[in-house]
Amino acid sequence: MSQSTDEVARASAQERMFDVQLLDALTSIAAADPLPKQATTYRRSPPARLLAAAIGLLGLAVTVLIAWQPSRPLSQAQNGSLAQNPTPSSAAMPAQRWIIKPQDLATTPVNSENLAVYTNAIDDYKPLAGFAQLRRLMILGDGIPEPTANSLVPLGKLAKLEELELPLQDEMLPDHLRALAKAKQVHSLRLHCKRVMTQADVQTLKAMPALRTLTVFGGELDAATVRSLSELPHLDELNLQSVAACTEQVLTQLRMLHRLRRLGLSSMGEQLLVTQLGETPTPGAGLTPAVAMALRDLPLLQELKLVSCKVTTAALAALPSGLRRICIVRCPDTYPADVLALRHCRNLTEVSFDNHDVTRWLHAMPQDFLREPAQLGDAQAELIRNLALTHFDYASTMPNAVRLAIASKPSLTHVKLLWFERDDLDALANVKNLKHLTLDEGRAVELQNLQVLTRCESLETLTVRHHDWQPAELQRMLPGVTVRTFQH
Amino acid sequence: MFAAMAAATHSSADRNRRRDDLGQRLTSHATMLRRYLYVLGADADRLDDLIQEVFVVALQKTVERHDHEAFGAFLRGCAKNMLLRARRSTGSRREVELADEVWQHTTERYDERIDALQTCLDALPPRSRKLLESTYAYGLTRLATGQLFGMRANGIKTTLRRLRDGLRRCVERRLRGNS
Repeated sequence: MSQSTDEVARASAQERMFDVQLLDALTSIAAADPLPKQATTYRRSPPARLLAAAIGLLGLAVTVLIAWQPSRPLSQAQNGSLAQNPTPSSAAMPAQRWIIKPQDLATTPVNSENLAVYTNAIDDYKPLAGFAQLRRLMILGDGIPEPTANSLVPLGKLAKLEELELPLQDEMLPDHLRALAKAKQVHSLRLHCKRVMTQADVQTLKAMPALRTLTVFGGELDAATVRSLSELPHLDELNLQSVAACTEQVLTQLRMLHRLRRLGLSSMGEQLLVTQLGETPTPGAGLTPAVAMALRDLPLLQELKLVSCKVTTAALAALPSGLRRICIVRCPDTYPADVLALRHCRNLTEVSFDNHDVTRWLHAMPQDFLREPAQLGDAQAELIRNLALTHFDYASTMPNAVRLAIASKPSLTHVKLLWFERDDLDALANVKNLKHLTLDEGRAVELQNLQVLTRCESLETLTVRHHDWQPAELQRMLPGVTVRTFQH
Repeated sequence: MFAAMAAATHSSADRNRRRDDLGQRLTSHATMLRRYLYVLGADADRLDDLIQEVFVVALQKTVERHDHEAFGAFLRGCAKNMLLRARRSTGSRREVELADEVWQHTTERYDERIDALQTCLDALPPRSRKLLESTYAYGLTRLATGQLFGMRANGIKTTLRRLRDGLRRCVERRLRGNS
């Protein structure tokens, strides 16, 4: 055996040995903390609590109103913030529990409301019918063996189910989906497609009375199927992620979905940098000028989410000017000129950007790959200055120009920062009317760095994710602010 | 006669007890043995059979006086021999030997390695750690993990490879720092 063959053999043994070490290191974590932690909420003083309750009731009324009026024209929706996904139930979703192994079924409380179930743990969906309180159900994995027309019947019996994620198996026929019509509260369906999604599938989904949000992940769509989505009576949000064969011709059929308010295109279109960095190439056309023009035919469209999606200056310039929210993140091929092409969207009140220093959400982008990083920040800042922003999200460290731009926005009330740094917090202290702040996964940020937020006199709520800061300490630091912490 | 019967019963009970003890000792090594055979490159679908065969050999041999460590080494020796017997070519037998060397080398400072790895894992962004947990601790397939994280299976594969490379470098750095 040659030396190089020895090296290969040794390297693969080392890989396997590292698997073992990871298993050892992670099993202790998983055993100690098998489930995501429950959110801890600290409330304010009793009068403030009453006020919050009143606001909550008002929110509930608004939610019910939105749910009652699924096709409000845009003109009616222009006062106030963009409608969130309407949910029949106003109660907060509890932390998710996982069923990974068959024995987990027996130990999961029957009153669980939020479950993720791995199909290796079950032979069919029958045991899930026992969880009558379920509001959100994620079914992960390849699916069940040999699905039949009755396989999904147990899911139809979950009367309180609102959100469902389901593998659309290769063997599953359109008729098999018919059972979902019984789940009358399901307003959000995410299909993890193992096969081509067809018009016949869409026809069966028509029977789901509350379906408003559809996410298609994987699989394939053709033009006729996209067109047929317009027949879903209440569909107002569509997300297409990593869907193969989504050519320009297919995506332009989106113009038929007249009721659409929110559209998401994720992992779509060939992006040069993505390929150069060795990431998996993403299928489809992405946002081309023709697709953007097609979106102009959607009278209610308010929100466009482009995540890891191909965009061009011409395409962004062709977007409908009535958009209220745009999100362009993890699109590393975006140039400053692309951002400035959005200047015609003068109604934008909510924007989400990043600075491209993270390729997806895990890896640092090599600095020499960044597209004109300083100018990108300048372009984002210029756009922000010309908008009456109320909501602003940023992933990664904000460029200085962006920090200065948001500080000059009296209209800005909601800010979310992901992978932020200390200096970003300093910038927030200058946002005069900041009311609601979410901080997620800060980089080298200590609890005491949040002290600067005491200067935000209008701050009402602070949501902190993925930090182990003690809520009580945060509360002490920011009296009068409602603090929520989530470990997940 | 009654005395002989009593002695026979006693010796049978004694044998049963000794067998139960041995059974418990074997069970306590099962996880280690499974990992060892995995590192040696045994096929996943053959692992259970091999472990069973090793246990049969251990039950047939007089190994009761071995302490825990020595008993583990004895079981690994049996397992390696069985795997070697199943490998026909010299090349694939050599792979087993090389993998055994990797095992010996890595387990020398194993606790230290795991501590270092845990520190490196703690420094990862929560989502990255969650992704590793989904794969290694919960045993989800790439497909299911992809579904959970909104990525395709290939993307998960690339991400895992990069995370592992980073973690391995981090562990080596920490071990060098400690030595």
